[in-house]
Amino acid sequence: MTRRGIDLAVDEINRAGGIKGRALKIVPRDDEASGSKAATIAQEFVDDPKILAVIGHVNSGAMLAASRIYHGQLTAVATTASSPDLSGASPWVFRVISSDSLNGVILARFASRIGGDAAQMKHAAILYENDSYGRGLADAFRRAFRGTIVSFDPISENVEAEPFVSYLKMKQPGIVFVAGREGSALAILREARRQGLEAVFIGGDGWQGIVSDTAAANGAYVGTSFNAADRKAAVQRFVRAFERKYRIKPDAFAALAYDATRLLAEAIARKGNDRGAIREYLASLGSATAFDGVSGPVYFNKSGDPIGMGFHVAQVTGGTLVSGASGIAVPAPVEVAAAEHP
Amino acid sequence: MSEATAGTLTIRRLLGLGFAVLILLLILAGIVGWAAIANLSGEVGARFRHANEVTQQSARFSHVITQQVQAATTYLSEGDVASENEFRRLGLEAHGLHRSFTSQRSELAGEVANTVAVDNRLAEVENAFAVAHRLRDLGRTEDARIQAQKARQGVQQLIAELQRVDKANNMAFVRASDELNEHATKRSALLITVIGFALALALVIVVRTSREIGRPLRSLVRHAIQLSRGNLLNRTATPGMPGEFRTLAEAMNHASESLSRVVSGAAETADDVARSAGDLASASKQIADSAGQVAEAVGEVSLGAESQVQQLRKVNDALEGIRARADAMVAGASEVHALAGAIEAEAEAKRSEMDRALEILLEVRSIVQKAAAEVSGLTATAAEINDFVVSVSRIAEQTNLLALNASIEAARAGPAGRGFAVVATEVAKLAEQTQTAADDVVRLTEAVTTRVTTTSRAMEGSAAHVGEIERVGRELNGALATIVAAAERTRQSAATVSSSAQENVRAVEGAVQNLGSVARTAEGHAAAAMQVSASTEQQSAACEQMTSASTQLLVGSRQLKGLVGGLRTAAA
Repeated sequence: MTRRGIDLAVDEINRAGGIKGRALKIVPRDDEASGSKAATIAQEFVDDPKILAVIGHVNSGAMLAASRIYHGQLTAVATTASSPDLSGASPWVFRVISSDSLNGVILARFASRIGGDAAQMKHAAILYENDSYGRGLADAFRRAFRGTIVSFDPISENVEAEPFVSYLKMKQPGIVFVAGREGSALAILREARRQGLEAVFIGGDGWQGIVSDTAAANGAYVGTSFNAADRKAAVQRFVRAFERKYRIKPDAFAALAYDATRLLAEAIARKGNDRGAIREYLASLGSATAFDGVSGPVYFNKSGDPIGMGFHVAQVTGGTLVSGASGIAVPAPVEVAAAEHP
Repeated sequence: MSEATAGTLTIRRLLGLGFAVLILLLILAGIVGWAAIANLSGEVGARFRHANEVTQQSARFSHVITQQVQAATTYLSEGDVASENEFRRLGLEAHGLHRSFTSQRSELAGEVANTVAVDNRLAEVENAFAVAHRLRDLGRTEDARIQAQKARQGVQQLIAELQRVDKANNMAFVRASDELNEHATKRSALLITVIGFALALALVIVVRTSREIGRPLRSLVRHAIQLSRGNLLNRTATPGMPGEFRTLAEAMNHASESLSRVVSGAAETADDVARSAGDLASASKQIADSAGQVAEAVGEVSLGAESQVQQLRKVNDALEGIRARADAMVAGASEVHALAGAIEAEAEAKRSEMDRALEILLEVRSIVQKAAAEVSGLTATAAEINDFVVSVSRIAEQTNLLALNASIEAARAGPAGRGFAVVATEVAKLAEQTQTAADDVVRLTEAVTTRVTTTSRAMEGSAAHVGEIERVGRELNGALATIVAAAERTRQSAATVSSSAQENVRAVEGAVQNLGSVARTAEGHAAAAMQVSASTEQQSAACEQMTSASTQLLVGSRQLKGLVGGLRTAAA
């Protein structure tokens, strides 16, 4: 979805004449969500003088490893890398998604309220993918949840869900919070469905892809920084263009990638082929000069985190994310975040 | 000399240049050495610090991981919640450490990749243990054991991974150390080359300089020996000599020529000198004589000046006496002035008293005159009284005749006339008594008239006396006025005298001073004259010395002539 967001933005820019008459070109690389791979790719980008800026990385761990390489050399705008560890990693690294230290809190507040006063709903189990993203989001949730944490288990991306679901069935928590991505999410949801585990499932922005399994995902809650149903003209124009091109609705990954691409295109248009000037431009954005993105206005604090974007909880209903379906939409006062596999 | 050094390479220049280059090279060597050492020690320090940090972090990381695995294993065997919490906590700590690794280590992609691999391996181990823990909680101990086995394999791999990172670090360290070594060797070689070059240059300079000095020095020595033997005809050839030697050789050649010229000229000059010395001796003798005469004359002048000074001193003393007397005169004039003032005041007082006395006298005179007039009036009254008494006496005589007639008639009238006879008697008596009284009055009046006449005469005398007194008083008054005027004039004269006397004193003082300076000048003149006299005497003595010196000169010039004859010269 990230790639689709980028491609749509590039199409739109080049169709409108490119940047000062020159076409914007994307050099795509897949870091396979691996820090080692990301570091190697980052070095390649830094060494290539034709590359002016980086959109990405998507994954927090990869972004963290790559940020050391970009430091002092090349501007990178992460799309969905939301780990708190990334805050202030380097003045050359920015992100359009807010930090999990905030997103985890928003999700935990939602979880603390959803069950009213029911005793069972005051018990939450936490499963997290054992990487920068999962650890950061799970830790933020654990600290902010008002109730008992019955378990706090690390899982891998392709988790064997059976022992964990069996354990949860034994413990009977009212809420299961999973800080992970689509792969582990679907494995757990399907196993829960199979074992008949009755619990409210909540995931972070990494869960947005679960809508593909309509049956297993139905009813689960997902944190997102993008609302496709937003009535703002720019959002609707983006949603329509996206649907026309790809025949599906865009999610937050696509929206953030679209925003990051257009933001960097704007920086290059203003500052030309100067890596340092591009960084200065991004750092100089303020509330008055914020870039108007489909996921919200974009400008950054000193740690490179975005200010002013929204993050809220949506529910999977009939194969789509419905914002405010449960009647609970948490407006984010300051920042937003997400991370995804390419 | 300057033309010799210009354009020629002098030894000094050669040496200066050579040593400058030498010193520069040595400084260069020093700087290169210092920079190399400083750079090297900085690099070594940085490498060691980095290595130390990496080693410490690795040790801490390994320690945490070991504890974590220990906690996980404990939970598997005993199932206590504390161990699991410890397992989780240590896991987060290990990941945190890894994060600080990533941010602190080298920015090389390879190193970052290595540390990321360690983190991923740790995550796998944790995940495996988590599954094992849940299986154990579910009572599936066999599955749990298998899972734990898998986890332990992961631990082995993790340790291998850590070792790989450490090894990579060590390799990097060894490489760095090799590089440093190589750098040090290169820099040493450079340093040795620079020093070697400097030494070679020094050798060249020494050889060249000794050769440059030796050759010309020998020919110059030969020249000097010839010169010392009195041979002034020898010359040294200069071409090909270094700057300083050429200058020296030219100077010696020049000196030989000059000496040659001087010696031949000296012989002629010696004759001239001998002649001149003779003339000089006689001239100086004449001068000595005339100087003696001058000295004598000046001595007399000096004596005259001294007697003049003595006389001036006497005049001065006299003037001092005059001045003292003038001072006394001033004092006397002042006294006279004061006295005249006192007299004038006194005379003025007396005069006013005299005026009052005169006034009183005038009053007395008028009173006396009035009294005289009154007395004159009394005399007239006494004459009137006499007239009256004469009348009364006549009346008393007629009365008495009447009484006698009456008594004659009463006696005629017999008894009837007795009573009348008695009255006639009584009237006779009365007439008698009246006659007596009238006599008394006459007598008394005469006495009064006498007394009045006496008084009148006395009064007239008094008035005359008073007039006399007045006249004397007026004369006295006039005399007093004269005294006052005279005192006034005396006072003014005394003041004039006093100021004149003071002026005299000042004039005398001025004269004394002038005279003093004149005396001093005269003394100076006397001293100067004495000095002149002494100088003239010295001059006279000097002339005598000159005379004897001239004589010696004459002798010397003859000897010189003899000596010069012994030298070989161009003229000879």
